[in-house]
Amino acid sequence: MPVEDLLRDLFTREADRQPCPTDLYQRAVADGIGLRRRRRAGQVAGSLIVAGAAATAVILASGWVVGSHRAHGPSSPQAPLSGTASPSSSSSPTMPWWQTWPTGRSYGTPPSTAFLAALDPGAHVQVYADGTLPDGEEFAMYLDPPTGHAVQYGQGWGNSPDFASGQTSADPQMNDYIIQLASTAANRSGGSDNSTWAIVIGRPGTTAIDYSIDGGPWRPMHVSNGIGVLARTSGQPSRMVALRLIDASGQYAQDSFQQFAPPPPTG
Amino acid sequence: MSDSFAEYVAARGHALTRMAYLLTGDHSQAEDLAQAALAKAFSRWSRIEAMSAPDAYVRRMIVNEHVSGWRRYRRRETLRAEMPQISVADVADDLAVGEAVRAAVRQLPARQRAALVLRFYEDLPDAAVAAILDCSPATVRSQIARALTTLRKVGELSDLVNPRGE
Repeated sequence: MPVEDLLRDLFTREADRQPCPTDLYQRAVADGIGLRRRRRAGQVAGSLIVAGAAATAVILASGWVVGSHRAHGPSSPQAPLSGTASPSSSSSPTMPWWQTWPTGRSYGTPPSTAFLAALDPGAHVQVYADGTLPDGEEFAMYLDPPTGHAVQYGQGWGNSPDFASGQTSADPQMNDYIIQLASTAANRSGGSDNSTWAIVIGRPGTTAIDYSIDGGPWRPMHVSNGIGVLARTSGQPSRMVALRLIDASGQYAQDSFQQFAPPPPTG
Repeated sequence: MSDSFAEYVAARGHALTRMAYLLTGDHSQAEDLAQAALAKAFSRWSRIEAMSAPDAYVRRMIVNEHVSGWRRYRRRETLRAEMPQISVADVADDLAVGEAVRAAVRQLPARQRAALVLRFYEDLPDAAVAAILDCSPATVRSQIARALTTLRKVGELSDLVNPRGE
């Protein structure tokens, strides 16, 4: 049977299994109103935003990865994943999560002052989580309020935090955790290396983050100040990685993502 | 404005969510993806509905939202007794062929997968796929050709496509 026919058959059968969410309209409108407000707020900020957007476009064109796949053009940045709002969360729908988190949490060694200053020169950014990855790359999850973005990400070295960057208008109700899939230094240096980091930023007070690959046993991720980092080995097939995040109250979130391979062997 | 948007979502919401599911392979992500694109569409609906093909534009938003940038996992329930599963295992009557195709498609880069969905599910011509993917028709053809070549090389699928090594 031609592969084209197999695909048509598969897609038709698969699509039929997707139900339509009954509140799709309400949810889209609610989010859309928020987007409109943020866009208007951003327009007020003036030329700085335009400059920032232009810089981002250049950055995105410089070779990002989505999971294990190399990017195919300027519209394929890596993929941060944001967590859900927990029923036990203290946030309210009107309180964006970035206003509920303290700033200044670091994974390992904090980035250099040059790196932090270069996130948005001349602007006072609020850094909610940052650190230094095992390969020496520095990263930061931050907010530059005038841009109107919910959260931004920068990764690189020294005064160049733009080897990987991005921003989103994430739902303000998300307040539990964020996952950023980011390429390693070896990945960025070219060749066939497509190794990546998964940087999991748990909510404040997160004491442990466990992961399980393809339903295997749970293993602890190395966590520092509620931030965990997991390495993905180059050249390995995609896997389903499950996560569970834990604080003093117990497990508060669980999630999974694809396109990530087992960590390198240790020892 | 809200009325026409409501009519649009009522008419096309399910189809858009189905397409989002084919792109993501995950029911929850599909809902989030469709919702994110529709939220953006709502925020500029007066401009979109004035277009000659608003639905094509919204489909483009979905594809772009999926291919690019920040994937958001936003689920209504946080704690689960079981992990959310992708669609592989939950249809007992699926044949091996479906399994092989599904797994192989999921391994494709996002843009190639999007091109396949737009071509073989939405039945769009090269030009329409190109408009959605923001590339040339020639690039669409090469993306699809590359994807099909990859699929034909997948072990189990190769046997199914050419059962006697034809």
